[in-house]
Amino acid sequence: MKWTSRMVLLGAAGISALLIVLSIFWRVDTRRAAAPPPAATPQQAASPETPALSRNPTPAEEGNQREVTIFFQSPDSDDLVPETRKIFLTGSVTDQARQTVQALIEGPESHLIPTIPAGTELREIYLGAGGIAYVDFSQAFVNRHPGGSSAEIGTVFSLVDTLTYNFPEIRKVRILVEGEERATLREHLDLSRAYVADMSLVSRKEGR
Amino acid sequence: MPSSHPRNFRRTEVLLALVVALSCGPLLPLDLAEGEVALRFQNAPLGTRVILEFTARPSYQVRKQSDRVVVTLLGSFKSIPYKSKTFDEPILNRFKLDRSSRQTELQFFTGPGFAAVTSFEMNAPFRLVLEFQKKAGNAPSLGAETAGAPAQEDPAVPSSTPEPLEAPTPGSEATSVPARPPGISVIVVDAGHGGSETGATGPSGLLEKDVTLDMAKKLQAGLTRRLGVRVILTRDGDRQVSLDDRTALANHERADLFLSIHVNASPAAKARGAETYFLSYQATDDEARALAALENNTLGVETPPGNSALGMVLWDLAQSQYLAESSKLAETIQENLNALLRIESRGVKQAPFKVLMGATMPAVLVEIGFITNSEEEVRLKDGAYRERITQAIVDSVASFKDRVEKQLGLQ
Repeated sequence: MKWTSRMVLLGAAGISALLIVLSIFWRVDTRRAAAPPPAATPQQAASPETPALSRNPTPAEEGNQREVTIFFQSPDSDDLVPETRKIFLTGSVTDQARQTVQALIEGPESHLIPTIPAGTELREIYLGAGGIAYVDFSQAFVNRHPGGSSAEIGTVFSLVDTLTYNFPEIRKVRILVEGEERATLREHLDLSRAYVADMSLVSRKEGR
Repeated sequence: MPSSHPRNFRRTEVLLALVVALSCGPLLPLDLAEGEVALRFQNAPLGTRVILEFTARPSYQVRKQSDRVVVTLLGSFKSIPYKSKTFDEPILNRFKLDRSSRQTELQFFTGPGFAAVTSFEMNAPFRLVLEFQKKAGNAPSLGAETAGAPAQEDPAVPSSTPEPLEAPTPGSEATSVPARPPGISVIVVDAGHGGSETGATGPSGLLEKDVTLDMAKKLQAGLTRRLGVRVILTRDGDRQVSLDDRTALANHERADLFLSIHVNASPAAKARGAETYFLSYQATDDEARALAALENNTLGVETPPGNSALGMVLWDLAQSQYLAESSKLAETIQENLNALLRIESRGVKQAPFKVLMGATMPAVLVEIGFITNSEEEVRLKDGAYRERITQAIVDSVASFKDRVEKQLGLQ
């Protein structure tokens, strides 16, 4: 099942032939937007127009490092629960995002559960137009994923929430596998679209 | 058993979607002025679609009367390109504008083929989309149906002359579609995964695809016996079926309900319980732009890597018309699962699941339990347990059918 680009040639009303190339990024809010925001979201106040993070130091920043918040699966519920990590304040947002996703792949330090399948490699992250981060994983991301609606939602939104929470430049996240788009992860969530954050999944009970 | 339906259904669907998208008459002025409403008429799979475009969201009300559907706008609006238009078609007969300084009425006179109207909004630019559904089609969107108001007859309806502008012929599809009784008579049951797509696996090796197939067969038997409906399975053996083909089958068979049966998985071994999903849908800015581009035959839309298929836009919209009903069906199923099985309720949820997207009927996905939970895996292996779940779902469909048919006045 491949949802790759399509070009459709159409004759219009016998007048002229039109070549239509259409592209859509999908933005999805899987939960009601009315859900209250999580208690502590220091980065949320930053607007997408905020300039480079290095010029906008947070209290947590020391030296050439900054703190990021990454979300893992709770062992007791469907919630995503934060842990913090230090990453290097390297020049580009994509490089910082790469370090952050790498930390997500490496997994939790506490009792939390990893959301990215073991053995998954991050091939590349790049930032496209409209604040869309393309995150390209190796095949293990799919092949070693357990499947199931809950597990897919946990995987996709731990990634989407982590990236959008820490980097105001990233508004949406699109997942690729081996450089290619996929229709779904394991036949549930649509991966042919870019996702916006769903902070309703983030636990309000446990915090940092 | 049409579970081995031809592969070209999907192509047909996409082509149909394209026709829907592109059979839209002439280009409208791109820059609408304030106080103007642009009208477009399209053939839709279920009838006729009317799109009203505004510069900003107006205060409006949609009312269904005995012979027409009236959209009342607060303020004075000029409609373009038509002030009135005669279609002489079974669903939509005629359109006429009545405006005063304080309010504007867009009157859509319906014909004998008209069954129901549903409406939804899209943004950027703001659009009010009205779906005039034909009779003998799929179950009308009861949840979204506008409340009928006392008819306020207007005797002075001038017979409008056809406009020179070319427009698609609303309802022309009706002649090619075999009539089917309203209500719920055809149900597609989708056994999740299959073939090399095994789905989730339990700690002792139980495969999701095997549980879903057995559940689908049990549901087919139960629904047929209890409700006398025709039940079609998306697969009746262990084979791989694409998600698009599953929905395409339901659309082709003009099914009234689509039930996708799955078994859940979580890395949290403790996770347990059943949950029922329906599609989460929001017309985002991007989608609205995409739709606008389709409608306007606009060229040169940006093409980033991995652009979505043209047809999908419209099939996504198709399910969006049924979200209210899908939500009600999901609630009913979830309540019955909770009550009969006393398993922990995880509630009704929404997610952008691919298999639900293209369905032009109420569609839900039921996760009957967690295969990754050792205790639940044991229960899921048990035929009697599966029967109880089947019973709960059959009861749910029965009460949903009952409600729909009462509302349609069939009982």
